[in-house]
Amino acid sequence: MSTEYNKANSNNGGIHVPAAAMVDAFYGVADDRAVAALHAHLAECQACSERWEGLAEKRSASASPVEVSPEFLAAQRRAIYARIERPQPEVWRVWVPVATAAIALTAAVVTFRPAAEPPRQETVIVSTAVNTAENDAQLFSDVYLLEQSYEPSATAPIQALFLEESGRNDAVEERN
Amino acid sequence: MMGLMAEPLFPSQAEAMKAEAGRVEAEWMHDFGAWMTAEQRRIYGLCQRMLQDPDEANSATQDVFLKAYQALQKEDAKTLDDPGRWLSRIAVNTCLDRLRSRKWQFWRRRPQPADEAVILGMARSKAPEGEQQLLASEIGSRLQLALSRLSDRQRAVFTLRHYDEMSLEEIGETLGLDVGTVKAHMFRAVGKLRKELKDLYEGGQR
Repeated sequence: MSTEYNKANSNNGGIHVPAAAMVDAFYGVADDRAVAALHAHLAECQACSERWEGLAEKRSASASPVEVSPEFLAAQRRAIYARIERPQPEVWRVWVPVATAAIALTAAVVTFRPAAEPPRQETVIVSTAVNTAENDAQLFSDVYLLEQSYEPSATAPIQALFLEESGRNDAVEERN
Repeated sequence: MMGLMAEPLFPSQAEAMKAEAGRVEAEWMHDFGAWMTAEQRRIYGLCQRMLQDPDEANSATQDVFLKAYQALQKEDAKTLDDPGRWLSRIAVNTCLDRLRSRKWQFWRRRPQPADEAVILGMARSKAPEGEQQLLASEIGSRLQLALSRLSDRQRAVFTLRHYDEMSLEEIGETLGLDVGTVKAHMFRAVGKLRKELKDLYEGGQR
């Protein structure tokens, strides 16, 4: 905090302490030099001194106690007495069942874990790829052969016609 | 003969001791009850401000007095220099524990609007005297809601300073922190609440 306002305020017409500086000092977060400067200023400046004194009053007004009914507090006390009289469970009574359950669960998971599938080898994938390629080649070959060799039986009469036609043509040519 | 005489005497001595223990226990419980009644509102207020949830504050207050009772029941419980501060420490730690566990409860990040209204109603002064006090009280309600912007430790530090009027040294002792750490938390808290504090301390300036 600057001490400028001290000098300026010496004739009672200068700068007053900023609210932020007062708040910092009030909550104890201002450094020692700033606090010393503030108090030096307060000794000289009536207006700031009154503001400073007003801080505690305003804090008090803003921090009014939480409003609760006597009935609420009485019920709360009854609940506290009931909890005091109720025997508290021993620590082991809580933790032993929890720990036992956790161990049993872990053991069950480890024991009855489903068998892991054998890892797929990369070579298998490669061989599959090779097989696939071979299969494809075989398939294309078979289709080709089929195309070459296949003659539907329904075409035989038609072929015969052509054959007859070509035979007739041959005879005509021979005659000519 | 001795045996005959000792037999009836022993139960009566035991009964006397039992009665004496019962009387001491009853007296102690009476003292504890009186102390609890005197501190209950303050501790509930502290929990309410820390947790910002009336139901949880109620539960936490019960926890605080139960822990205090159990600690005082122990034979090795040392004489307390400042029971009020000791109780505040239990309350703050109880609330910090609850806030820590609340971090896992992502569905309740902030108070519901209905809860906020309850908080505002609770924070309002019972009988405001004059405009200044009414204004301060209303800003106080805003300030209380603004506490949710602070981290757990910042909220604890600011609450103990603003509402319980503890010095930084006392806060340090209560929370088990050194003064420098308390000051750092307070600095950040004041920075985050700057607007509300400015309105509180400058609003309606004479």
